[in-house]
Amino acid sequence: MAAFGLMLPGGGLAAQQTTPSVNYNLVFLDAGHGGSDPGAHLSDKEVEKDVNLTLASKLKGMLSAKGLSVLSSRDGDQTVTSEQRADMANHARPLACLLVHTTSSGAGPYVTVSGLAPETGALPALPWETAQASYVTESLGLESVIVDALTNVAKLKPVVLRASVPPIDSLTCPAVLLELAPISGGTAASDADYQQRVADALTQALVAWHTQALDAVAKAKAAALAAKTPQAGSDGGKGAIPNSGTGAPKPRVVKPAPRVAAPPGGAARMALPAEPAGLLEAGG
Amino acid sequence: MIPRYQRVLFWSLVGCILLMLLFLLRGCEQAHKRLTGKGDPTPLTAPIATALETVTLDLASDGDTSITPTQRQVALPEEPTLRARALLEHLLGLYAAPGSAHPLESGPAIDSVFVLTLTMAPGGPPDANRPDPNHLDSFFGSHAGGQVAIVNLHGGFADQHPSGVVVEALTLQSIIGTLHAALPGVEEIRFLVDGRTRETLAGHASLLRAYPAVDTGNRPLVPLSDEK
Repeated sequence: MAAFGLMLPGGGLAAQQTTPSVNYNLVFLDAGHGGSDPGAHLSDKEVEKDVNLTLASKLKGMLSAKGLSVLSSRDGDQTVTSEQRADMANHARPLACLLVHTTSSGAGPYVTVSGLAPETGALPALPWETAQASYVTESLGLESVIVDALTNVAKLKPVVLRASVPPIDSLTCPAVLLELAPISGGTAASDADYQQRVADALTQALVAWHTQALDAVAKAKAAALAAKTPQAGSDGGKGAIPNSGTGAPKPRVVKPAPRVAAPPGGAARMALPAEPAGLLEAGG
Repeated sequence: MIPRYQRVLFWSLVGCILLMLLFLLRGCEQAHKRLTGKGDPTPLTAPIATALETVTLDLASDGDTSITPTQRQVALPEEPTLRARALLEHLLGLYAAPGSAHPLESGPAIDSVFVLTLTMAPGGPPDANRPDPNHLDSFFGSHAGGQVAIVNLHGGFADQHPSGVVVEALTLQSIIGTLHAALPGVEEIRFLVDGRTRETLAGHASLLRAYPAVDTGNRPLVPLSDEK
């Protein structure tokens, strides 16, 4: 039986509780694989986990230099499960989640968004395994920004696709997976110059996404203020921000508490899933 | 009287012969294990004379990351599960052929395919007319009368599959599209490896979720160079 953890959107069961908002200055970077999971063998001497970490570290430094905070799923060769990666990201409520992978087959960068069908209706709770469905529209917006940057800044020919690659389906943030393949001329994904070009483009894309999100929030606040002025105080001054509908990340409120259980000896953020909450299994 | 040195030499040679014999037997044993490990232990069904029929295979291509529906003439059994297994074996056999656009290792790939018909829809009202494409549990996602295909892959196939987001996604899309064309009544497809759930095919593409059975040939991956 599939285990379901539950995350409660702010408009649902958790509406009465304090609802933390999106951290607009934070980007979650997930270097794929690590530790006992080497990923693909890119060559006799290189394994995917190391190349992923190199690219993610480079990107982290560049994003930090631009004033963005970065949360990494791993900074070394640790084993981190998909559940732990999603848990870290969902706790932090980042503006964007970027998953980094590399491969020795194919050509150029592949930009992937979850293969889940977009969920547009209001749900009382998000099933852990398909939580990304409510964010697919935003993820496609982020994908578009990244593709533009890879095309115009890095002068590459990205290919977009939809696929379910753990932990992307469990992320409650606009999430894009980048898989870097060699480019013509035998330039491998581990090539430093190639990685620098890609990191430059990704940095520009994420900064643009950040700016776009802040603009959308400012506009939404102004609109909410204008709507509130004739009947001041009618909503208790909470100032809820509506979805801008512009493709920028909407400030969703998600409470992942039921899924969290502190692992023995583990970091607080790296929580393992608790026993299934069972609400969504009630149909069985 | 045989000299002592000749006796020593004789018994030394006999000892060497015995050691070589043991070494040979051990080598044969290991080779036999290696060969039978790759073999398909599934009992063969009795051959049935069936006519060739036209089937649609959704063929993947790594070069342009596309899925192309292709018509082929294949002899298939009538029984749906055997039919699905034979069809998928044929599809994956094409990928193992030299010059394949989506090269995979040769060897048995499909252990079995189960096609289940739901008699009730426990996850929703009886008149639900559309399965939830995101639902992880097939039995909750499909509606009454709908079919769920469970593809049980060989562990060796998954272990030897090339690792990568695109290459794994293409394999799954190819299987899903081909099954959808052959068995249009199937609404969802799930994957097992050696009868057990497994997180990913080869480190990337998820095998835990239920995939909606759709025509993947009509929803190919999008190369931006062609789109723009």
